[in-house]
Amino acid sequence: MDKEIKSDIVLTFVLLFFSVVILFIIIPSQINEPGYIKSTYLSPAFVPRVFTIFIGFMALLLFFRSITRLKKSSSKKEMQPAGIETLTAEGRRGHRIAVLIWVSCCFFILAVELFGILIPSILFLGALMVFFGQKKWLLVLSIMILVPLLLYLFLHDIANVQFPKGILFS
Amino acid sequence: MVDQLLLGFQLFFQWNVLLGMIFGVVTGIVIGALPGMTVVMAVSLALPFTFSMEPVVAISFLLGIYKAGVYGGSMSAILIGTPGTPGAAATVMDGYALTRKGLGKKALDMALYASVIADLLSDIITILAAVQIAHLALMIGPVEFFAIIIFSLTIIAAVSGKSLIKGLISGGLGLLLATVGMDSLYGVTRFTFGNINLTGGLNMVPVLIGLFAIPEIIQQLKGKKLHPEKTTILDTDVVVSTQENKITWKEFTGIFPTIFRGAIIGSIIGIIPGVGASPAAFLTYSRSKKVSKHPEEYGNGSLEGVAAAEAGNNGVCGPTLIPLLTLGIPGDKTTAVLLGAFVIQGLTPGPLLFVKHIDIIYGIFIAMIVINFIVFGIGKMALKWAALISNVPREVMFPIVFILCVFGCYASNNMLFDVWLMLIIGGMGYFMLMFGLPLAPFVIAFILSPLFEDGMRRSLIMSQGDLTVFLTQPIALTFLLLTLFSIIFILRGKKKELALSKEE
Repeated sequence: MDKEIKSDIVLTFVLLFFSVVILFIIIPSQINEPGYIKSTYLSPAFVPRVFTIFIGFMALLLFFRSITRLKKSSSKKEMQPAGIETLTAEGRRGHRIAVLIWVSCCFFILAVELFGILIPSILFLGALMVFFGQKKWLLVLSIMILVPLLLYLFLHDIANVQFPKGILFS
Repeated sequence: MVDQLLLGFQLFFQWNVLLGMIFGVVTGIVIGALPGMTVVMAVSLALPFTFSMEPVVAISFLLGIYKAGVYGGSMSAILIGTPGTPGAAATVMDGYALTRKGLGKKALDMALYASVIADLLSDIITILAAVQIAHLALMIGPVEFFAIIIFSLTIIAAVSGKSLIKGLISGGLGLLLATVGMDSLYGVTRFTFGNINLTGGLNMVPVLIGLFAIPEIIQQLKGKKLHPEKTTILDTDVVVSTQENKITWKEFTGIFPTIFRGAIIGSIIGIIPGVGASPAAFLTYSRSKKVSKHPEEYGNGSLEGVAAAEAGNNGVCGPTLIPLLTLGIPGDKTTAVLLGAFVIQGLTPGPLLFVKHIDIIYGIFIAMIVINFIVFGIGKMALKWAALISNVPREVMFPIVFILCVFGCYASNNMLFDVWLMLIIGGMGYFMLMFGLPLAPFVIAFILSPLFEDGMRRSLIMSQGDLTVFLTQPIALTFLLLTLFSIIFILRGKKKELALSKEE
């Protein structure tokens, strides 16, 4: 099956599931519709409902389009392009790296909550540069210290931004 | 009138006015270029410094920040793919693509020319027709406002890319996400899950940064790990010559109609309170794409696209001041802060200001024009150095961009929650790209959704639930018919594209 069609079908099911959950579980539990509102259009749940139905409807259209394309591609008996296996392996590795980056960013924000913004920023910036291949230590050291420090001083002292001091230090 | 104009010139031609403007422009460009730092924030922070200034100096200083800040957002949009201000979101699409082709300097130049010229044209419109336009603005009620927003939503089709269905899905997600928070009519909370941070809705800054910057940071760092031999963000190893990176006279003159269109659209959008620079930029972008000789280049690195987006968002600057100066009504958050600055100076914006202090009004008008030339001069100097950013190694640039985003996001609201929001939206943006869902429709819909809902519900309250109200008001009906024609035009265009691809 063509890679794009496969991904569109997966997307359709994700969106349909999402629409159903929002429409029948989240909207009734998360939006309290006051009894005195008589007109449906004025209800606070009306617009979210319409948008959710719209997403579900578009997902269905995507599904039908994918099925039509699937039928056409199977009738043509298209060959898979050479090298697709390697591409998929690289793609999988890429997604693993992406998840790793995102999770490490989450840990960084947790560290900010614990230790304040400055020290974790210095360490995280340095770690990212080294992990992704920067070997010039002097450059890494100067950037990892200067960038967060200058930003901190500018925003804290000039723009009066009160940065978190960290649970452990406050 | 000549005497008053001369008095205005007298008030303007003082060394401290010029210094105030230069300082304002530098501050505006720097803050505008920093992701997360908005123009409103910059103007608000500068407000206390104006307490001891003379009225023309104070207002010129703040206007310098405002106009330069709107332009400054384009720098980070073009160089690092992250809009410095919400208004620059449309600039990312073509500006960053040009940077990756090694044409960052050219894109920056075009953004500067388009911003300054459109701003200048819209200032002239403001000066010549402020009072007349203000009366037009008064004719825009909730019904007309709703019809204009509906018309603006057709932009989604222009930025949907290959698949209109996926563009509409992305737009639907943006519309839905914007309903999080307190309902504006009854104060009922929606989708807050008991979290107090969500009551005020989702802050636009983390949503924009998360959507544009985080997926790009992830993609670039991932790419660095998979292909370490590719050192910079440039897609090509071919070195672009300095000559190729300059805008030719032919390119400049060819793009002038786009800039003019941006100034007109920006001016119209600018006078409508509460709409702002982002819709103006996207609307100009979409209209320019429709009439362009090369619509296929839009989204893949079109100079015309950069010019359209920048002309649209800067075209708003002057006319936003019209409701403020003539009626005393602030059109957006920035003009609300400016209203505060006027009051602090002992001036009350409104019709009386034109009677009692016409000399100050003329002084401000002259400052508005001159600021554009200062933005041009300082912008041109800054570009020489800014363009070098595209040569910075990826493993250095993107960690710095991430830290900038974290600091900027936090500073936008002094809340760590916003940084979490940025990361979550960023993760969502990455998955959207993975499934081929374009990000631009999401952003447009997210920006327009509250205006859409508010306009619709206020109109229906006025008409006591009667839906025909949208068809009985002439301005609203015109915009709804325009929407209908746009949809027909879009569907016909897509049908043609499909037929062409089948033939190929």
